[in-house]
This record gives sequence, structure tokens and C-alpha cells, in this order.
Amino acid sequence: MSLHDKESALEIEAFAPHLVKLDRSGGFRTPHAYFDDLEQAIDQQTLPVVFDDRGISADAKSSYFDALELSILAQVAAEATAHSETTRSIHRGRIVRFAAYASGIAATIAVLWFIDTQQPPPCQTFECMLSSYTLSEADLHTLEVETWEADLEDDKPSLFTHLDDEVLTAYILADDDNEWMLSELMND
Amino acid sequence: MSKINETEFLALAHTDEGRRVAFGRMVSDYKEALYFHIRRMVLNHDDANDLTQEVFIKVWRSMDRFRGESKLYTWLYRIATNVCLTHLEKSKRFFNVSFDGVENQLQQELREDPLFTADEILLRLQVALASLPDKQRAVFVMRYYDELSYAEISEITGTSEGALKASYHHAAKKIEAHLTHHSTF
Repeated sequence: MSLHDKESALEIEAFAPHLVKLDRSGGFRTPHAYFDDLEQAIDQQTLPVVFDDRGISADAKSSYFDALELSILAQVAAEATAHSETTRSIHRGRIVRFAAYASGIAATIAVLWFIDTQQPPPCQTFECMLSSYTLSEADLHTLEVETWEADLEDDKPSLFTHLDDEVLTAYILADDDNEWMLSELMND
Repeated sequence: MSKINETEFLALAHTDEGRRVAFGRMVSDYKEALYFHIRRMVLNHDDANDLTQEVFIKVWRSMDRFRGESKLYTWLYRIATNVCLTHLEKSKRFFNVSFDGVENQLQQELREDPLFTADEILLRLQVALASLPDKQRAVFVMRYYDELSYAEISEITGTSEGALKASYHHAAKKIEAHLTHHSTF
């Protein structure tokens, strides 16, 4: 037992003598083989991403987000590039808001890059993409959790209004965690 | 092999391949310590799992900014602690509930959590810990469970050692009061 450990143990012992003998883990356990899975999950999220000539590679889906998230973002990008500047900016806001849910920030930037330049992003890696593309102040504001929370509180349908219903429903049904989204839509 | 330190990290991080090797070793060496540090702050496994991944993604993205001015593991703990505090702050704003309102529920959830296996005393300690202000709890967790010195915690939190000692003392007193008030040993 180190010196500082001994000090803290003594301090606790003063009022709860049982505690100093207890399991230092605090009683918390993990699922079987969890740390192997964790390592794999982290590894996947830091893999280099390759973009094809449409701006997003199929490989990307295994790195950052699942296939359905990818299909929604790809669809949004395709719609956005086919519309007027006003509509495009609406789509842009929607993509950024979607990122708050999907945590696919890198994917979002890839799509925004594609919308803005009509070219695939020039980067091959996550960190390169983040450092090469500057999100506007409006984008950053939209990404802020405060805005996301405000959206949840006051403007729930706006996140989904313009998405294709079939794609969205497929996405929602593919993931049990998204059941609440479905209920929100049903109430819309 | 001993855990990767700042010297080894900086020696490896000059090339892309070296960066991946250094990052892989950091994940391998510190994933359990950081996971349990985070778990003690947020209590449930799912949140701890998400946040541990978030911490390592942040580490991956900011490796270039690590200059070896602090110990590698205190840098990792700093990122993990900040991620936890941000998460707890967001949760409070989102759910807008006081601790008093959720204490019984928290106790029930811990009792029913298959990934929390502790006796009644330890459960009460966790509930008492959850009643502390987040930053005070972070200090207590790092000192009591992670067994870090005040000097190390000072490096992690950017708070003076004197203030940390006072914070730990207040935390211990509050836990004592909570345990005395809510239970008998």
C-alpha cells in the first residue's frame, strides 16, 4: 500500500471501518471480454477512411457509422446538390443536426465538403479531414449540444421533416435504441 | 512490457506508423484504468463504454498536441475527467433533476444492475459518492480509487494541491454524514 493510499484509507476508516477492506473496483464489473471489444471498437474508429468518386466510400461505414446512417447522409448530399442555394443551406443545417445524433462528425464533414465543392474530400484520414475543413460558425453552433437539446425540447420534427420516410423508418427500425425516434415521428 | 510513457510516446509519434503503434499501446495499457475511472464517475456501463471510446478518439485526434510537458497518463486522465464532467453537466441540464429526486432510483438501479456486484455498504458508498458535486467527486475518485497523489491530481485538474486536499476532506466529511444519516453499519 502506497503512502497516499494509506492516508486516504485511514481517512475513510475513521468513519467507515468496513470500507477500507472492500474491493477497490467499487463493485463495478464489465461484460465478458469487454476490454477486447473496446479495443476493437476504438481501433475501427481510427481507421483511415477512403472516399470514392461520389464522396463517400463503402469502407467508411465500417469505420464511423453504420450503413443506414451512411445512406441517409449520402441521400441528403445528393438532394442538396440538386437543389437551389436556399434549399442547400437547409439541407446543410439538417446534416449538421443529424451529426449530433449519429456522432458521425467526420462523415458530416465529408458530405458538406461534397456539397460545397462537388468533389470528393481530398483527405484519406479522419484527423486530416477535420483539420482540412473549417466548419462555419453556424455549423458549429448547430453542433452545440445546447442547440441539439433545444431541438429536442422545442422542435423535434425539424430534425427529420425532410428525410425520406422509407429511409428514415428503416434506420429507426434497425436499431432498438431509436425506438423513441419512431414514437416522436408517430406523434408528429 | 511496462506501460507506455511520455518519452516512448514522443519517440514513436514522429511517423504515421509510429503514431498508430503509440496509440495502440496507449489503448492497450490504459483502457482499463480509464474505463473504471469513467465508470466510477458515471456509474453505468453503457455511458462508461461510450465515454471511454470518446476519450480515446479525442486522444487520437489530439496526439500531435502532446509535447511531453506532463506525464502521459495524467494527460489521459485529464481528457477523461473533462469528458466525464462535460457529460454529467449535459445530463443534468437535459434531465433537470436534483440528486434528492433520483437517490432512491439510483440505489434501485445499482441494485438491479448485473454489472454492479457489491454488498450493501459499498452500494451506499456509491450513492453517497453520487451525492457529491461532480468536481469534488472526481477528486475523491482519483484519490481513493485510482490512488493518485495530490501532485498528480493537481496536474490533471489544474487545481492547487492545497485546494485538492480541502476538496477531498470536504468530500470525506460529506460521505461520512451521508452514510451516518442514511444507514447504520
